[in-house]
Amino acid sequence: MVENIQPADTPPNRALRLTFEYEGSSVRLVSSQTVDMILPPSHPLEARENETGFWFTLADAAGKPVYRRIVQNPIRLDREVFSQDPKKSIHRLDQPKPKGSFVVLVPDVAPARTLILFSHPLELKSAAAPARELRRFNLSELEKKQ
Amino acid sequence: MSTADGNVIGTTQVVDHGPASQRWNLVILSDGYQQNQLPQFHNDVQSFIATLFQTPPFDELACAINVFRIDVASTDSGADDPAACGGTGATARTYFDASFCNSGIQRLLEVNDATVHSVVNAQMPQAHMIMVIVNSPVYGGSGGGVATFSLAAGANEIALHEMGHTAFGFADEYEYFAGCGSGEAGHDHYTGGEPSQPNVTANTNRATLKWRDLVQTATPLPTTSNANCAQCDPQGNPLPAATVGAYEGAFYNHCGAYRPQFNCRMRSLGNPYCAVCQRVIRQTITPFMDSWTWGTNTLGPGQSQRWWLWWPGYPGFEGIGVQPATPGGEIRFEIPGMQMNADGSTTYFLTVTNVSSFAVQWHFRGGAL
Repeated sequence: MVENIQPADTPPNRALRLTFEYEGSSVRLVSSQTVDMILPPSHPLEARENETGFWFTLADAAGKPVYRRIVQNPIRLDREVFSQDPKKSIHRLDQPKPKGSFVVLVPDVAPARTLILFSHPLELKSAAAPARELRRFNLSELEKKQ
Repeated sequence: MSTADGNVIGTTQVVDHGPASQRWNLVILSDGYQQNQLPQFHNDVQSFIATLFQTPPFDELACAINVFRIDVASTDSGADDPAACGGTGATARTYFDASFCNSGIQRLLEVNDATVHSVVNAQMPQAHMIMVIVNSPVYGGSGGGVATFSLAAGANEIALHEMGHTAFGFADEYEYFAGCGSGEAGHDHYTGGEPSQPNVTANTNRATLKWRDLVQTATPLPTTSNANCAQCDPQGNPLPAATVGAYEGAFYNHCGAYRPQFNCRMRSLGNPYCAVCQRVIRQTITPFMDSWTWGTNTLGPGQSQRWWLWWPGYPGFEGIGVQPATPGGEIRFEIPGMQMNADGSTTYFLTVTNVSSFAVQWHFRGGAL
């Protein structure tokens, strides 16, 4: 029998599972759960100048970022369409009235005070514009959703 | 057409590579399966798992990944398939309201993602990635926070592509929006700032390119250029397929945006992930692995192997099955002998036995010391 196996001594990690709904440019938080789980490591905390795309940042009381993840824009301004034709297996089409739901996972760490969503302006013609603050949520506000 | 059209049966862990709190957790739900069809869903999940764990680099990251199945029974079988898109006209009462023909496109198969998130939040909130398999033989799928795909041949590829977006933040590497030859306007030249996504760039400077360490000195930058930005670049790959460089045409633009390899699963389905995407997947998943794994081997049914291992210390380790992914004790791992050496090292004498009736790929894994 195996006598000497020592499991990895990794401390448990906690995360917040935040569920949002959006319609047009309106984004609202609908639920928050505290979950024991590991998250991928942070991307570089500071965005490059004029960086495009979508990301979310956790910031401390002084506004200093403590965690940042770059993700695909979860607010779907377009849709991806697939075909079995190998020459045109994927393309996109506009989604004029975006509406849906998405989840953001952030570490539940003591210094974090604010969650900030960054995105390009929510219209397809601005998809290459630099990302800017889209919405900001106080973590105390998130706790009320638990 | 709603949650009144079925019920959530429950959650089953179908790949158990460790505690959910420590692993990267994939959750797969069913839609359009009636209660008596759920065994088929179980088979469909296993089929996708087999595909996933044969797909580089997930084949080497399997030990970091758990898979959970959420059985959801629907009143009817299949999905809505409106005749307006050339479908059969069938309507199906399903829990997540799966339907083809969204936005007038038959292949655009979608579910109610708010309902999916609600079920996952209740059943398996440790999910990192969520997929829904729709019980239909018609090819289709969609992405976003929930990757949706049907049972048609090749539809697994939709799930892998969408996982690239959702779990790893990849951009699309194709150089058009509506399609080459569609007459699309506004996609001739990318003029924005540097994309945040790791697999596309507007920068071809060898000193600052974000995947510069993967580019060989002899590879020209840009590696290809599109001679006519009014259309997709028709040229073939002038270099060996594995060459990493900066190929013009990506991120919905014919020119001005670049992709790392000529082809990638994020450019067209059926290709492997490019080297840059594979590296990002490894970087994302590796923190979910045990501290180390080593030595992949295959044992036939009933076979045993004897090993001795020397270690400069006193490690914690075990042998664990990797393939097939189904959990469960196929590998028996025994340490009949151990010797502490004068230099502080340890020699282990091991026996590894496959006690199952099928071949099993296994390796050693260990925790932090």
